[in-house]
Amino acid sequence: MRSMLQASLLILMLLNIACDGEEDRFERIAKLRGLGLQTSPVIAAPSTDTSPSQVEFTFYAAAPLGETVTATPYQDLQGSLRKVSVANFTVGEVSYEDHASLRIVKVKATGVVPPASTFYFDPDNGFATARFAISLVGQSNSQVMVGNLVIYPFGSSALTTKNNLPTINITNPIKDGTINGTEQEIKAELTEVNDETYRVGWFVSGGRLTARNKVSTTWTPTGAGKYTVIVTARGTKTSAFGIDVVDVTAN
Amino acid sequence: MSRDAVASTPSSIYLLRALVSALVMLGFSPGIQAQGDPQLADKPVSVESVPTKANEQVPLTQEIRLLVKAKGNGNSVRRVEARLPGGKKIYGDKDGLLKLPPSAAILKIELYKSGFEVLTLELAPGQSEQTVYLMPAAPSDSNEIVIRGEKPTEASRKTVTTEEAIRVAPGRDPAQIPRLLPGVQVNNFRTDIVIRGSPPNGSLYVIDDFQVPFIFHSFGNISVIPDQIVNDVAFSTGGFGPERGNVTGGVVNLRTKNEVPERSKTEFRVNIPIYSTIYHEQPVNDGKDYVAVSARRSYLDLLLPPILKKAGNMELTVFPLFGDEHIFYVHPIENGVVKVIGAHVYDGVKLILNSDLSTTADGKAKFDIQRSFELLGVEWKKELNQDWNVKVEPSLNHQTNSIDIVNNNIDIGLTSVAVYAEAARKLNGKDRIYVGTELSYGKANVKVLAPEQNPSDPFYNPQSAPQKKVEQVSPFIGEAVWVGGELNAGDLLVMPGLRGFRYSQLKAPGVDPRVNWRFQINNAYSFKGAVGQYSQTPEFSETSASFGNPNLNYIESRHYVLGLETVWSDLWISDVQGFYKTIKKTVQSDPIVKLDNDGDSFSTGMEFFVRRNLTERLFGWLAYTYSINRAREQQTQLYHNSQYDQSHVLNITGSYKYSALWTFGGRGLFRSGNTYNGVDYSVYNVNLNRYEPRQNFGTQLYNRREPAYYELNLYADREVLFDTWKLTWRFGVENLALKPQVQGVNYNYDYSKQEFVRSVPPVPYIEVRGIL
Repeated sequence: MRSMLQASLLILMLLNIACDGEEDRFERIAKLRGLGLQTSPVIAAPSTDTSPSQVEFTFYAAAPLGETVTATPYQDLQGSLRKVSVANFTVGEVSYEDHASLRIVKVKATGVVPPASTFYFDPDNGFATARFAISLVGQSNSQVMVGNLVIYPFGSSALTTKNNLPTINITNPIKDGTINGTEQEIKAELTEVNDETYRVGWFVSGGRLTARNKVSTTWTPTGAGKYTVIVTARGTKTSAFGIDVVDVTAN
Repeated sequence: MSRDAVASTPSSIYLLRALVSALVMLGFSPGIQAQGDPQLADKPVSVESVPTKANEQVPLTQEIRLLVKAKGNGNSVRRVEARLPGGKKIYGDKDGLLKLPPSAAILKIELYKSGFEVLTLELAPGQSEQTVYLMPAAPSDSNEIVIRGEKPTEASRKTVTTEEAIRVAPGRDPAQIPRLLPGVQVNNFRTDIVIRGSPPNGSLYVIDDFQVPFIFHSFGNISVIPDQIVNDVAFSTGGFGPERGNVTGGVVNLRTKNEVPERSKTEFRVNIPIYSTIYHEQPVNDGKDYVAVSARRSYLDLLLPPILKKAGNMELTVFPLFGDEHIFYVHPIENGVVKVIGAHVYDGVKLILNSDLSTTADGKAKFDIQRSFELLGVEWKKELNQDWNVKVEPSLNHQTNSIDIVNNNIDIGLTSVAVYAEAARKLNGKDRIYVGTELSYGKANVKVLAPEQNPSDPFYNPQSAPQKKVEQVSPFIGEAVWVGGELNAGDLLVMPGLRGFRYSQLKAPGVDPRVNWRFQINNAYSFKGAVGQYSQTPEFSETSASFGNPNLNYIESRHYVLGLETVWSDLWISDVQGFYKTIKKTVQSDPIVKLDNDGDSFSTGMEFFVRRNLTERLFGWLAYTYSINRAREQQTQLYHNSQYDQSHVLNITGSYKYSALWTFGGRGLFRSGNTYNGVDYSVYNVNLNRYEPRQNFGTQLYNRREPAYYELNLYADREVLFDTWKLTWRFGVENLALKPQVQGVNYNYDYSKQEFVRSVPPVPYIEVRGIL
């Protein structure tokens, strides 16, 4: 009950965080920011003596146009109480995908899941987790991205049934379309997989949203010009990740 | 939600206009001058006079009977002295009846009574019985002590009567007095109090001997019982005797009145913009008993929503609510009293807003936090004979806590039957021994529909984690017995005590030994102290198998107090105390067993208290506390600042009665800033799509401190007297400061920016109180 009450108070305090000023809002990308992570496979099995369990990580971030980023592994000493980390975590290439107002940054990395003896598989839920973290350094700021990889033991059906990626597509506004500069609805179509619910997150290069975690919400641009709109979805149990990006022009 | 929020809007301008209008009304108000007003003293006052022609001889008929009453309440004035021409004096009786001899001419008399202004009357012949009203006199400058309260025996206990409390307490509320005393920390966002570093749930709140879950409403800083039934407040910051237990901090005891009033009284209060209250007391059973009823209700839930409708980009609707109803019955018996107390108390807040936390299609998130308690208690106290006195106090209790946050619900209901009983026996001289017991039997009903906080869940987020529905009904039993004594050896008074207890939540019983002492050095100085152990059970939910750890142990605290009391004069006393307190086996989170007893804390410091005793004109005190409060979560860690560390707390409070009708007063608070966890950087959690704060490795908890805080609260009371009733207007302003004070810390979404939450500008208010 202490934790429930603390969570209650925390949520109430989060109201203050939500009350950001016009420019300093979560959904508005104005500097190097994390967007999410895609892993292949989505959930992994532990390594064996003969067969290391390799995982490929693709970190997604957004940055102002023209910003270059360097990436290195990072050790997050706080946060999760789980001590097991992804082994041999190696950061690979950094690639960029430029849009109308933002640059999408993709950072590849690889790692190896430690052996089963390293993990404590929760008897109620059947899984364990392994920690990873990466540091992105841009020209004006840096961004540490942390997370957990879900591990299921060998033979678990989840390795087959929960290893799919969702798809999410922005249906409004239309890609490369033209919009007016007033408040308008934006929508995405989400295909759920893995028998789990999803957390949706919107990001924009300018303006404000009324509810950034709703599949359908409203967006008010700041005026005429080009905008980039991003939507993400991540599974609440596997963190299976999907992303879509559109560019629009506001009159 | 405080009235501060209202002052931030243009509505505060309307309040100021109302204030000015009220002042104008009072200044130019005609006809309210009471009889006996000095300005009218030279004017003859004729009461139902019979016109006579000059030099007309009117035959003597009958004596003149005057019923003399006090203006403002209509109470009879006993033994009033009437001075007749020629120096003759006649006295009224105990019912205020004054019989004057028949007179053939206009009779000019003067009425005298201590505490009232002299009233000059001219009575025409032939007048029969009539009623006259005496005006209260201006306060005397004699510095005669109005109340000399009981001498506290325990080292850290202070008692403040209601008469004293209404002069200085916020809102004239006796229950607010502890906030102004040494050893207490006050937080603007928290209505409960922290006593010598103990957490808010570490202190005990009782009304007489009935335990209540809270004593202040969540909003408005109002206590849960009407001050009209309170006789005094006994407040202990530690080192208390064995009759109280299951807490590690202090005890706030609101003690109710025993005396039957002479007449009925009705009182209403309208506090703009917060609440209204009505109270009525009535002697019954031919004046042998009395009954009192009261009701209070806030109306912020009606006023705030239209004011706070737009807040940033959110549509915000706020419904703070508090209220209570009481019934109180007093039946004096031979050498004792029987009292019945019934109370229904509730408060809470509802928020509806557009938020990222919403889980519904309309994007709105609803927060609803409510709590209440009901109490029905009977007190039976009696002196059986010269040696023995006993008290038995059974009660029925029910309390609820309901939290509904974005479709996650936690509902807790506790119903119990309790008995508190104590018997005391006088021994030789002033020695005394007492034994007592406190029994409580009940049932807790817990319903939870919420995301289970599972450490194994990789992406735990209360927002979208699956909900777990749990319903648990658990009986509970609490049993305690104690023995104590007051043993005198010359100028030394020793008060040993032993409390044994057992609670069904925990497997093992416990024993707390305690001792208080007082050594009267001379008439001016008393040396005092206390040592004792004070154990407390973890919260009920913390020992639940579903939510916590049933293998937890008692939280154990040890108090060490030394002090010196000085009576400088009849008017001035002081109290200097040093204290050291440890709290071991505090409950902490654990990744394996959910909760454990691995934490501990300590608190040490000095308290200075200087008090000017209550006279007719002046009353007040200065209370200063310096303390060091440290805590740690594991035995292997170093201590860090406690969450409840306020190094310096200074309270100055006072009241000055300028005239019979005007009183001025105020309170000043200066305290160190609250501690908080500084954020050094943040990380982006890819699983949860949010930023998480981080501290640099090795940084201790609560490593930063807000700026110091101060505020000044001033008020002026103006009484308007009618014959049998009166109005009291209070014009006040709260939160006066040279600049908005820091009350908290806020961050932006990625913790890259920090700003202090500051108080709003000073808030004027008007309160009208009518007493009939």
